[in-house]
Amino acid sequence: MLSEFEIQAISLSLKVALSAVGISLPLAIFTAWLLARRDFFCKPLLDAFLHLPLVLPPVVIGYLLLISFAPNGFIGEPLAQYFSVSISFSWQGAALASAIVAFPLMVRAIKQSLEAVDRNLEQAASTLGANKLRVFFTITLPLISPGIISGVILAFARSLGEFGATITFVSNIPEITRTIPLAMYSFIQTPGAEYQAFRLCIISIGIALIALMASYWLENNIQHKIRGANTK
Amino acid sequence: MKIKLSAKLNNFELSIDTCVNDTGICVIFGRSGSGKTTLINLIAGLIPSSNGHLSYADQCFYDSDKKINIPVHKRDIGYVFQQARLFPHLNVAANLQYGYLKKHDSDGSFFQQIIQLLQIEPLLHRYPSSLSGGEQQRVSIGRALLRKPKLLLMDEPLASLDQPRKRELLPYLEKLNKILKLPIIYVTHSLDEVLYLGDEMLLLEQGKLILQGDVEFVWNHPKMRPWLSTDNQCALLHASVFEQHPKYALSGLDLGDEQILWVKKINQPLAAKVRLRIYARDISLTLTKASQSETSIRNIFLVTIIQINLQDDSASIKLALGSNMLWADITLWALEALQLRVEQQLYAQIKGVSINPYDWANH
Repeated sequence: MLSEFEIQAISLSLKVALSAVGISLPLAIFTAWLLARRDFFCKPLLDAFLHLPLVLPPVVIGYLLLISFAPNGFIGEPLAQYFSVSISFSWQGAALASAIVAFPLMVRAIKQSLEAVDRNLEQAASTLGANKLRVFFTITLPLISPGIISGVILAFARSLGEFGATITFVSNIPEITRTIPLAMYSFIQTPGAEYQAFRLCIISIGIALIALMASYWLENNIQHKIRGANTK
Repeated sequence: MKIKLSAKLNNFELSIDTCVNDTGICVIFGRSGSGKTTLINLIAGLIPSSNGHLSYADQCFYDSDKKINIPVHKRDIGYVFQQARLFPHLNVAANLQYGYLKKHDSDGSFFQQIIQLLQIEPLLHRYPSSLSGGEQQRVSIGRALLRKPKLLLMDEPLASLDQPRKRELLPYLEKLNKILKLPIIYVTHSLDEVLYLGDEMLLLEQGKLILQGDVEFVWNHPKMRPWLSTDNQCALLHASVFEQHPKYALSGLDLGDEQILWVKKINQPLAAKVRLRIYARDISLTLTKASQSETSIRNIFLVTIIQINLQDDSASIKLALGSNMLWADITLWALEALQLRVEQQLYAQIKGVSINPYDWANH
């Protein structure tokens, strides 16, 4: 049903998107917590900086990544020298580009749900002997889980669709960095490949629908739990 | 408990320096905005004090000189809030167990005692959103108790409930202190709750302690008058059950000095101590004593006028009845006609039916 080429593109896209979401989630929760709960001197600056990827053209992000992670770039050079790791022109690079582009979406969703948490419940937990860490993991985190899920889904969708930063940073290398959007782009560039492009288009819609339905189901389930479903 | 605290919170200043009994129920009373909640939040450590000292039993919670400030979760204090604040994502059992330490209750008997005392066994598997307000508050009290605190703070725990729910919950609160021997600091602006629960009473106004003492002392003190509005002015009396009437559903209460007050039947054993509220509007005054066959009034006492307070449309007369004190409201017309003056002796008549089940409490 699916050609080997399509399966490669799909699995690469999923791998990139899932890794992008996976690495940025803990950092996104921490950043959202900083922005929602802490007051510090350079908070507006951090907030603005965080939203940059949302407004910058993706190609700019790709370019910045390219020059900093290049073998002689200011991150790429020490990375290669001390850890012999290079992420430019690899799927890890694609994941990093996607993570950066999707990061503000994730932080915004989590921050909003953090701001909606009833602080009185956290206060009550502390009078019951829970230290700050326990309060966070047993009260705050469960209460913001719908926000985390919608943040994750948003970021996942954004990562799946990432094009500009990816092609600039890691190029369009078959089997290595050619995700679904890049593969589609290649087909569109090739005369007579309209059918293949159309098939990828349908596949994209399918993945998006599945992701949206999964998030709907998950969120509903969790909302139900948080609001207190009765088991009677 | 030693409380010497001051704090400043946006335009509000609180400064309290006192000692509170380590047993019984201490009621903090005052208008809203007088600093009641601020005071117990300071005790719990939920808001920072700017200065002072706080210690309970031999444990110091806060001392600005010694730089001691034990964080909330390490103070052995239970807190019941005005709203139940149950965790919505946890069921009742998990809510109860949140602060519960199994190692302090290896056989689970304390857990059983609490859920029986508050009758929450049937609710254990339900979620907070499906509970009524009264049930939620019972669970929240249970949750605070299961932490085995050495002191329980309650911030108007009944204020968000309707009248029937309040009546449903009051007996539980009374039991807490007596059965668990747990000292309670109880914030309220309800005189009913003071009557029912209070042993000691702190009267707060604008962040200052203006009166402190036994509930009877504070209640009958002139500084308390503004809180007892003219139509529910009342006096608090100590009494003990002296006899039950053999024929009628009446109980005779000994007010001391062999003065017997007959009221609607109080189902308590002989010699049980009760606290009684008598409204000023239920007392009338007469210069001559009618015999019991001429009047419906069963309770006629010889009293002495201590004080006469004139108001716009009536007069409040403060009366001494043995060691007790009463207030009587009469019209200005009656005051003039009877030519009442301070130190005069006369008779106070109290209708036996005017004292309802909500006007007395075990004590």
